Amino acid sequence: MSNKVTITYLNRDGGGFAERHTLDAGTTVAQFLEVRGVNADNCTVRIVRTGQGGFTPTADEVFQEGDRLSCVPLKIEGASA
Amino acid sequence: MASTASFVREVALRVLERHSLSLQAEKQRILEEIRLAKRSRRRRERLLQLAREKGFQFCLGRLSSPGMTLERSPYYGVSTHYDQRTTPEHEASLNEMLRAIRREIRQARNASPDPVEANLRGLLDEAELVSKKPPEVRWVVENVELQDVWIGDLEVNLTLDDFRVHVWNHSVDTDDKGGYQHPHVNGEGNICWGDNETAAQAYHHSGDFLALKDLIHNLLRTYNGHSPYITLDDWINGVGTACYECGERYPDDDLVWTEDIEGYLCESCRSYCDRCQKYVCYRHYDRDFAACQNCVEEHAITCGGCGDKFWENDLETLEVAWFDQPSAILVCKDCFPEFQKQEDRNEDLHDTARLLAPAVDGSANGQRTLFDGHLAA
Repeated sequence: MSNKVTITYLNRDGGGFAERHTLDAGTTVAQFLEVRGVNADNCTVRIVRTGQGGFTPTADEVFQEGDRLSCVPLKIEGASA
Repeated sequence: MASTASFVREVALRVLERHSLSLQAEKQRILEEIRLAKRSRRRRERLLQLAREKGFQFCLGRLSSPGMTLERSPYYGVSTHYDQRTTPEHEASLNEMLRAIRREIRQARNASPDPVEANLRGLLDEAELVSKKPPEVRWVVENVELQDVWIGDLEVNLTLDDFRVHVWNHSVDTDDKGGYQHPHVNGEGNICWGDNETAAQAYHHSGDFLALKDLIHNLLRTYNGHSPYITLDDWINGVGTACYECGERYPDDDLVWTEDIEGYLCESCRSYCDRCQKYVCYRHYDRDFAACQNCVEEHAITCGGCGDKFWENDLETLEVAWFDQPSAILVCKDCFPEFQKQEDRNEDLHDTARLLAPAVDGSANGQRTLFDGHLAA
C-alpha cells in the first residue's frame, strides 16, 4: 500500500483552479488547511470522494486517494455590475 | 437507478469533453498573445536599430526605457507610449501560463470521469433534477437574511451543460424592489458575481458542481454594501416612485407624469388620448370615445335627433324653419336622412299652406273664406 495520496484542492484564492497535492498517507483535513493558513471556521469545506459523493468532513478526516477538497469562503461579495 | 447512472455518466463525459475544449481554446488564446508579443518586441527592436543607425538621439532616449515604443496616430503624429507586450516580464508570464495550460491539458486527457460523477451524484442528492435535456437542477437556499433583513427563500436553477445560473425569489413580491430578486441578483435572475465569476466558471467547467453550489450559497448570504443592485434600505422601503393612483412603486422609467392629476401614473392606471396626445388617469378616460373626458366635453355634441353624443365633426348640419325662422340643428349621420325627409315634408306643408293662405285669409280683400257662412256664425 502506497504511503502517499494525491488529492485535488480547489484553491479558494486561485480563481477556483484546481491544484494537485501529493500528501503523506494519514494527512487530515485540519493538518492540510493549517499548513495553508486556512481557517475552516470561515469556509464551507467539502470533500468529494468517488463512490461517496460530497460531504462536509470533520477536522480529523483522513484524505483518501483522489479526494477533491474545496474551501469556499463564507463571505463572498457579489456586486451589481 | 440504471437510468440515473447512465445519465450521470453521460453528463460527466460531456463535462470532461467541454472542459478539454475550453482548455484548448485557452491555449490558443495564449499562443496568439505570445505571437502578438513577439511581433511587438521585433518592431521595437527594429525601431531601436533604426534610431541608432540614423543617430536619432531623442528617439533613442525615449525608447531606451523598457516597454517604450513608438506609435503613429492620425491625430497626434508619431508618439512614444508604453506597451507591456514588449517587456520580458510579459513574455515570461505568457510562457508560464502556456506551461500551466499544457499541464492541465495533459491532466484532462487522462482524467477519469469518476470525480465529476461523484460531484453529480452529490449534487443530485442535494438538488432536484429539473430536466435531462439540457441537464438542469434546482435547489432552494432557505431563509436568506442579510444583516437582519429578510430576503426570502431563493430558488437556484443551474444548467450543467453551459454556465447558466438563475436565481428567483419566491418569498417576496419583488415589484416594489425594482424587480430585483436579491441585492446581488437582477430582475432576469442573473447573479452579479463581483470578483467571483472566474472561480464560478472554473468550478462549472471542471465539473466541481458542489463547490459551485457552496459558492452560490455563500454569495447569496453575503451583502456587499458597496455595490448592490438595491440597498437593504430600498429592499425594505421599496424602490422607484409610487403611482399617484394605485400607490404601487415602480422604476421611474415605467411611470409617466400627467398634467391631468399632476402626478406620476403607472401603465395600468393611465390611458393615452390620441386627440390631445396626452396621458390621463384611466378614470378620466372615456372608452366609448377613446379619448379623455376633457376632449369629450369640449368636442362632443349631442345629436338633435337621438340625443346621443358624437364628435362635432361627425354631425351634419340641417337647416330647418323654427317658428317660421330659419334655424339649424346638428344631427348624427343615422338621424340625418330621417330629419331630411321630415324637413322635406314640412316644406311641402309650408308650400301647401302658402297656396291655401289666400283662401284662408281672403276676407281682407272681400273674398269669401273657407270659414265664412254658417260655420263662421
